[in-house]
Amino acid sequence: MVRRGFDVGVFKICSEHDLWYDYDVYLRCKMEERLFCDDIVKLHKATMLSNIPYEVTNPVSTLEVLRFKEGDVASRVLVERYTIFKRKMFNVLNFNSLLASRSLDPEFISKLRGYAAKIVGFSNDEEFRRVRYSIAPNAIESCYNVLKEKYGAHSC
Amino acid sequence: MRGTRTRCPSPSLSFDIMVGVAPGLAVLFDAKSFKASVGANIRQGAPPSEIRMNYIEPHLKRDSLIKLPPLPSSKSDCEQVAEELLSLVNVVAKEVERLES
Repeated sequence: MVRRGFDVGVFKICSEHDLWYDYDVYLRCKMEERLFCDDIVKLHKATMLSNIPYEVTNPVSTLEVLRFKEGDVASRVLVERYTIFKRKMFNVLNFNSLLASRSLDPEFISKLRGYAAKIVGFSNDEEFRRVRYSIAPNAIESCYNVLKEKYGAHSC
Repeated sequence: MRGTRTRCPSPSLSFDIMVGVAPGLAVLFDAKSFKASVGANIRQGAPPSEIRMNYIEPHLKRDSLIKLPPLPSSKSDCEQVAEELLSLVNVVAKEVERLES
């Protein structure tokens, strides 16, 4: 589409990545001290997009132990990022109070705490959903508005 | 949208073309019926992020089916992937041009 002259924008609302299938991305997240998935990196590359952060084109990003694991959210989600754009970018991180410290490098957790404007925590599915439903819709809409401004009304 | 785990688009998003993808296949859905079906689920009380493709797929109108070569995730060169997905790119480009005309 880019080669054909279309002005292509990308927007991946929510992404899931994990420590098993996406270990190389986890290493890259550690190196860059932020949270993003491989798909958004590929989409930026394909559209030659470089002036918008991954966090804005993918406002909700979930790091899990293992993506396709059955069971409740609290047994697989390590941390979820919500990115809100209000004149500047703010990241809110929702950490799994029980799993994150056991599964993630402590230094990475510490760096992510610095990257976040706000930290919240969950220890069960209900707490996780309460945070997600209160923050994710605003995060998606605020980042979508940034892209609408750049590309016009239809940037999905 | 992929499979049954995929979340539906946020109601704040606008879209005119809806493409469902699976290994080896892409389906162009009618965007109006897609929006209507998502809206009906939301009105029945389902949170948007809980709506799964398999809830709404039976109510969607299919505009076209495009067979694609199954691609391994290791194939990451954009030019190569675009070449392999040419039939889908052609259909979407044609649709965009139709909407813009």
